[in-house]
Amino acid sequence: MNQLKLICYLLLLPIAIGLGLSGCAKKHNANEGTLNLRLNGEPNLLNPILTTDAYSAQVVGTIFSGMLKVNEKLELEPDLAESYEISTDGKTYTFKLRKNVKWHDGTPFTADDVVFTFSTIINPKTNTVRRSNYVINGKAIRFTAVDPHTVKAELPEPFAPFLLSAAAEILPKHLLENDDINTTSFNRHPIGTGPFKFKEWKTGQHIIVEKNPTYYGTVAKLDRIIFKPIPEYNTAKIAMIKGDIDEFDINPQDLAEMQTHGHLALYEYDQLQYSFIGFNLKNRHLSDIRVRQAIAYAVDRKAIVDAVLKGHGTVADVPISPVSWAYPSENNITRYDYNPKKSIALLEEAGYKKNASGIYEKNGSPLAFTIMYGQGGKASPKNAEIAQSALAKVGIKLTIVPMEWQAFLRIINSGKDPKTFDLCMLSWSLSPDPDDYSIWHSSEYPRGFNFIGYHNTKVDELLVQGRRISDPRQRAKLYAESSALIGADLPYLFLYYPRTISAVNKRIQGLSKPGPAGLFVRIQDISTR
Amino acid sequence: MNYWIKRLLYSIPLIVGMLFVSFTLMRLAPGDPSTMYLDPRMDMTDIQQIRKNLALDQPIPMQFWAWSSRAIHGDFGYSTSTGQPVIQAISDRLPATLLLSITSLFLTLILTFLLGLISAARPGGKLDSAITVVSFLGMSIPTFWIGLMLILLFSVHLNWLPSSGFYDPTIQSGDTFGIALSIAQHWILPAIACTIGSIAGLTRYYRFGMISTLQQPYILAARARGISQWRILSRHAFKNASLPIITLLGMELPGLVSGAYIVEYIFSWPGLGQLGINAAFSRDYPILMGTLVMSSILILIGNMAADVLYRWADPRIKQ
Repeated sequence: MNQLKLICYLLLLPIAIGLGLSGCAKKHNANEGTLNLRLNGEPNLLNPILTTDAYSAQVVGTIFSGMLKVNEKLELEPDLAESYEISTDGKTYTFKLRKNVKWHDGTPFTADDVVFTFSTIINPKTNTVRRSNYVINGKAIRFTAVDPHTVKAELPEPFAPFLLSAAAEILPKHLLENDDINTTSFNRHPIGTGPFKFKEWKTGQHIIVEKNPTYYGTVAKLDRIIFKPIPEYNTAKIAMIKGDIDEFDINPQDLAEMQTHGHLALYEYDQLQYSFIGFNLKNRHLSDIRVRQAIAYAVDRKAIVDAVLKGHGTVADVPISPVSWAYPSENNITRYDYNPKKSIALLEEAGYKKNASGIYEKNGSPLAFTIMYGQGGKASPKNAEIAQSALAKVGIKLTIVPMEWQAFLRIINSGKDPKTFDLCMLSWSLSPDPDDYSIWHSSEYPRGFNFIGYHNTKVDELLVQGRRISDPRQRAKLYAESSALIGADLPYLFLYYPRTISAVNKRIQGLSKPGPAGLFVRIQDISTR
Repeated sequence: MNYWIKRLLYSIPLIVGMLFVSFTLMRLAPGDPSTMYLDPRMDMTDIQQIRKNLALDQPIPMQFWAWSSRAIHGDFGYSTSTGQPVIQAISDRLPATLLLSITSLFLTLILTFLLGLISAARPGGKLDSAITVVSFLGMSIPTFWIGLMLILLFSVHLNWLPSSGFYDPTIQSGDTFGIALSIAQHWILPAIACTIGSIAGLTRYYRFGMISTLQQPYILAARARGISQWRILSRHAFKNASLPIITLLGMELPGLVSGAYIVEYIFSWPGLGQLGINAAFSRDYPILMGTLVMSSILILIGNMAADVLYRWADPRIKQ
């Protein structure tokens, strides 16, 4: 049996060597001046007009810049443009560009780059989901370079949300004009005008960007940022604890544990996001607002926030985030606080009677619904279960149908009227501009994101007006009003606004004020201790 | 030789059929690459336009024809989600996958043969029972959990090894030795996780094969001749008991490149498993077809290799 022992030793040898080597490998002190950020997944590509995933956008934001940028207060401020003017009819936007801006390869940045970028987005051959931002009622916005440092955008009609679209990151014409934008190698080796230069991308391992010393704004204090795709939550948590990454969004359950680590600072902030249960308003029962109200009163959403988000969220009653500048004032919001008695009263008022199995019914048709959601999120199954048991208590039957994401989208996007679902659960991530025409305007049904079939003439009017007026203060009023109206109509059961809890390594300094734009809005100010 | 040429020729229609069926099945699943996004800022007409650009509005047989006529010239197209050439997307991730899969297969084999031998040498003995218990544990514990426990023990508590990734990105790119060393350190935990997962089942097979071989009359004859236990196990029984393992290995060959998704996911290992799974979720047809072509060819090679090994292990098997 001696040979056996020998083989055993031989097998253990490489492991021992590995362990030994790792013991003597000295820890590089290369962390100074380096920010290590986790990406929840591998970015698709680093081209700002093509990206569709949040991970790509995170990296792209450091390499590229746009004419305008969104600040911590979600307002637009000048970036590559020094200033802009809007004509009185709201149809012509003129942007004065900064001079002496250079691409990372040294070529000067001009108005041609801006025109090139937007015409590439508008070009139907480009596989981008952003084209419709620059097409108004079928007519494309016209961009022209007046001189090397002036860009004019002519809109077919006034369209206030355009300003946010004008903030899109700009691509270098001289590197891309002869390439197929969808497949060019530029998409993995980008050249931008931003505070950081692209250095390397090792598939599935890391992306490194380095300080751009010739940046037109404040030059970054950091030397570089290393982005590491770590898809698994627990692995990322360990990497955070070990100091391999510097920022990490934690699940509320882990808050107490993370607080025990002295090297971590914790921040909590609102996101531009809300979760909801959508009612198919073409359903014979759900078209009656009293049934929807009965459902709303029956579900204790505060309890959902406490159970699912461990209290790190706020109950929602309107389709706009409380951090938005167009959030309605509290006394205009219709609240549907938990009240099961009222729920039963509403059902009986609407002519429903309890049947033998304890379910309310009318004309032989019981209140039995399915609720579907796309699998992947952790919250959806819990939300659905809580809603199910709450509704069972008042006499409404709910069947939970988790679906593969694409199968879920197929039902929602079917373009048919009526659609084949009763209730569906989803979250909307909102843009800093409050324009939510595509979700609520009646023309967005059955094709469009108004898949529940919502129709309120007053809301339609407000949404159209909100697009035509460019004064932010007037727009805030319009959107506050439309949001309050939608909230009262209860087309969705709005669930909650989740909050992000971020752990940041204390060696990182210069964070921006915690808010929906994150903690690294002013990336140039970030430094390491 | 003739036999092998025939087999190769037969396999061509087989591969084409396999690919066509997979292509069709893939397309029967709901959704397509353009429907991944649900963003209220986006218009449905954008999606229609993207579908048109990607020729997804064509009938499926037409799409398959277009795909295969390009593929035959070695052009597997571009990923619909990253715009990267399919060949490159795969070859970017192949080295990490092969490093992990080949080394862990190697470890698995050695340990399987070793543990199987030890077990079968004295069935029902203390060592056998211990190995049985451990391998049942290994079979029933999910890889996911093993991976996390390994990280907790070796990376967090003992701080001997890095928790995730492929190598330390702060190492200068010229420092080949440093990178190799770093890769080796990052490799240990995923390799252990992969090995534990696959070793348990195989050991059971091998133990069983060994025990039934040891009951054969020729082993009895060998014992009667006074040949040592070790020699009987290693020379006389080894090959015959390997037959079931060879079959299993032939089937596992495509697994070498398909990547171990769970292990890759937990250890952020940049392998093909993540590429394939992400492609399946985002309906990235070109990438899916690329990986399918690769694994179909490997299934073929795996079957052939199993045949060759069979003949080596059991000369009675003839054409």
